[in-house]
Amino acid sequence: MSRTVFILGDTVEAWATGLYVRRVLDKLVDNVVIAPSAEHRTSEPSALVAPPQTKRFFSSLGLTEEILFREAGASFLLGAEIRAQETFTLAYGQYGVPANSVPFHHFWMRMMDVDAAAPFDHYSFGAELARSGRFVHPSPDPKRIESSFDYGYTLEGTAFGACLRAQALSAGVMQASAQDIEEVSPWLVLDCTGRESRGNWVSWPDLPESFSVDEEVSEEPSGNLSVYTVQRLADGVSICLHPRKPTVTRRLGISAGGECRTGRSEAPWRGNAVSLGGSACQLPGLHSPQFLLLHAQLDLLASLLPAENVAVDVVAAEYNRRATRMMDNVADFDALALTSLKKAGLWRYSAPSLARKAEQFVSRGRPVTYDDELYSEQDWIAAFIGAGFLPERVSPLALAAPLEAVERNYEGLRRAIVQAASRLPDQQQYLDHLLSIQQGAPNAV
Amino acid sequence: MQVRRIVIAGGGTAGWMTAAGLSKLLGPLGLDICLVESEQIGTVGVGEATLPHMRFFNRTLGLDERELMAFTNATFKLGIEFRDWARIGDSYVHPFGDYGPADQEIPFHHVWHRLHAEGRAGRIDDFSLPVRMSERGKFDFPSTDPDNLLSTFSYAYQLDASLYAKYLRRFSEANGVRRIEGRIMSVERNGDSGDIRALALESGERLEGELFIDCTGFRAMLIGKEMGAEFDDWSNWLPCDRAIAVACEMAGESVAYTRATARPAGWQWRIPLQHRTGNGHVYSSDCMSDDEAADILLGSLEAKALGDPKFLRFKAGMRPKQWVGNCVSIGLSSGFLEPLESTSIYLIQAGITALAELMPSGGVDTRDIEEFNRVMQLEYDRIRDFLILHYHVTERDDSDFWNYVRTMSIPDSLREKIELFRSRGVVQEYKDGLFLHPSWVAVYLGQRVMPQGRDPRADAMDEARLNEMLDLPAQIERKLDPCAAHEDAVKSYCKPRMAAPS
Ligand SMILES: Cc1cc2nc3c(=O)[nH]c(=O)nc-3n(C[C@H](O)[C@H](O)[C@H](O)COP(=O)(O)OP(=O)(O)OC[C@H]3O[C@@H](n4cnc5c(N)ncnc54)[C@H](O)[C@@H]3O)c2cc1C
Repeated sequence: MSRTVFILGDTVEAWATGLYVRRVLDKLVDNVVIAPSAEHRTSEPSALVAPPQTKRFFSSLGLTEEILFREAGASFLLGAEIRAQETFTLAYGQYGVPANSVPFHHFWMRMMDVDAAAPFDHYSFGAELARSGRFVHPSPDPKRIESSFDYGYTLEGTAFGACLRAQALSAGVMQASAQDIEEVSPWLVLDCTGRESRGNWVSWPDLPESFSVDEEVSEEPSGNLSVYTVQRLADGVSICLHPRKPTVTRRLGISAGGECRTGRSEAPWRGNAVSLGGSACQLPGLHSPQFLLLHAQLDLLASLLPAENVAVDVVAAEYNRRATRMMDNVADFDALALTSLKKAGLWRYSAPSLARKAEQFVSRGRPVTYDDELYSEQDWIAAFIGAGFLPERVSPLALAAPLEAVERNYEGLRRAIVQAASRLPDQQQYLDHLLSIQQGAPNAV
Repeated sequence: MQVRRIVIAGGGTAGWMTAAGLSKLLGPLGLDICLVESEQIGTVGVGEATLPHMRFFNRTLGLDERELMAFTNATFKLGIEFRDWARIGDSYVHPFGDYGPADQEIPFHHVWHRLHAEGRAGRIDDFSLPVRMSERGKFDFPSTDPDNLLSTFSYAYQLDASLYAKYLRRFSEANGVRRIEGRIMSVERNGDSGDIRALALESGERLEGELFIDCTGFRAMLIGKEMGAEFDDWSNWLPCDRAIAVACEMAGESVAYTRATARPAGWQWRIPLQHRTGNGHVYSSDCMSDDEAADILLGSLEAKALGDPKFLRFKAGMRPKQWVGNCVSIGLSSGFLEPLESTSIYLIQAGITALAELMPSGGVDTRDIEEFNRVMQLEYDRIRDFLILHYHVTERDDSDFWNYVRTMSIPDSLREKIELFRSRGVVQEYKDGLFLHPSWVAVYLGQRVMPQGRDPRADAMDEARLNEMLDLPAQIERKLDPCAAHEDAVKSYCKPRMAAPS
């Protein structure tokens, strides 16, 4: 029997999935066919966030940095700027450095207690770069401060969609109509319509019931390329994204009655059909986990592909167990992100997973993480502190070092961060330089 | 109440590891730590095989590995050989390390499954450096270069645990821990809170404190008898409840692995140290008498027994509440899982780490208690499932014991894991807790759970890459050729250091 994979939907996720199947699972699949679906999401976002973890995804798709710059309007992304009562930079990478295996935030709390601490995000090289709009590729030398951060991309939506489509078509992904699909029996159907899949939908108690993308405005490029900003509005959230051009401001409505029902599929894999991306999971996504989730889902799917003489139910059950846990963990991170825009520190969560995380963080600064997390402990720590959750007590292991030495060390680190960052170029300059090299020699990046 | 004085009740491996760990990690906080033990009662006196995690504990304390190995008569340990588990005559090694090359696109056992089915590969063991190192009786230290095959394993020790406790006692006392010899007769409680206020010793002395750590072993004097923490009985899944231990003289060369040989109603350990071999028979008293068990053990010793055999009783299970009020249990007082995978000392270490991180600053906080109990429950659950696996996936039907464990109902968490592996070769992974992917593969395949299907990506792998993989056993052998014999490696490493007291 020939193995045909049908991908439903004419979305960015669909084309990325098609390309993934061709590149990563090529020999296992005879045909990859994309069919637009009447139900697919109508409008694609004008700008997309690809956090650092997705670099590996893009690399498995064969999308080099050079292609992303040339064809998808990419800029380098260092994190988010969260504008609440105070502004916090949620950067990718390290905050401070641990001492004797004790995470930095415990020492930071000690300094806070004696009013000797700068804001938490001033101890992160990534955050410093992000704030100052500078950029350089991380150093491979772990001893250098310039190795302590990571980066992702902001992509221009339409261009990236077109780029994925062109790459997928040239990799052998075929296009068909919805009718064609009815005539052939596929081996696997991947639902990438971006629309809530049929079947049971599970909601999350700490996220609003529904949300909507109320408006998306594209303007002449302006502002800091290295971050996206997240800000609270009266009835929603405004997120401003910076691909090289244009600058895109998205207004998310998070009051009741929004067009998207928040939640996830109870069982994204049923029979031979798997819902991916938006059709498996809908959430406001202040930190745009779209590609993070899609990548994790595809990798999981690849590791659990049906094998001959094995009932599909067995792998489907395992897929559902893990994929739903991933989505729940991401939903918790999103719920925390929403909190960071509100009055901080007084928050109580209903989901036991997040409630425990918050409780332990506030109690002792312990980052509790579970199986199938897509965010690291460091991400959680920074997100909690950025959201105004401060540990009431620190780890006793952090109390062993004399306070003076702690202050001296970390003040030294902070200075070194500012100094090292000040020597680096503005991202626009760095990009101009890269692009000029690229135009001269296509493989230079 | 501010915790300033910590009282550790019991001076076995658990007590002295706790004293050493807390005094090192929290010493600068000016805590007053004292440990009370009773020579009259003594310690359980067994527990010689360890896991690689112990090295990290020792490193945190800043111990000198050579000196410690010399003092405790330690040998290196690369894994455990299991004999007769799935069928009589079978043997496999569960290594502290991986199978396959250092860089893997998909878990290696799928590739091996294909090559094996095609008749191109023999045992998966030949694709694991630590298994072959064990089998060839060699030893070398792991490499830190991830491209080097010698980076694919780790090691632990086989040591005299009572000397380890002695060594840690010296370390702890030098770090300010006070040792008190005496027998605890009763426990004084605070009427309102129910917390422990003091321990009353036979001598009349009272030991007051704000935090009490129960390291009294199976007696569980504080956490069980006093605080009433319940014990979750797991003996329906792990029915062995007795052991007989006896050391014997060395016979032949010492090897870098522990051996666990299945017996009609349990199993027998063999742990080679530098100067003697530890032996023990773990069995179910429902299926075998003590005399019969002793006969099996003594009849199979390789050399002359040293001293009389020691008889021990226990029950598998754990206390879901290992921390109650101001009392924390560490060691055998917190629960017991039989030594099949040498996990007890690891559990002690996990308890110490969690306690150090959650040590009350100010009074005891229920959030710390809950977190400690959650972390320890997770550790116990994961080890429990892994141990049950050894018994349950067997073809043995030669005794009531094996018929029982083979057909018993098992925890759902484990049943799902086994089904998934049996059908499609998938190892269910988890983030926290012991036993990673290769450990599960070792036991599944070692005990004849051959997956029906495999990852289809293994079938799509190109010939060039497959040939590279097929060359691996030869590469491993070449890597091992120049390595020293294990015994020589131990001798030359420990030689110049202090010897153990006689
Ligand atoms: C058969 C068997 C084999 C094992 N093999 C291994 C192995 O290979 N690897 C491994 O990691 N673990 C093994 N273990 C587990 C290991 O032995 C224990 O985890 C370890 O020894 C810790 O014991 P403990 O300190 O908790 O208890 P114990 O050694 O029993 O110490 C209890 C202490 O409390 C004191 N005490 C008790 N009551 C009183 C009182 N009233 N007053 C004063 N003091 C008191 C005693 O004097 C003693 O000092 C094995 C266990 C058994 C039973």
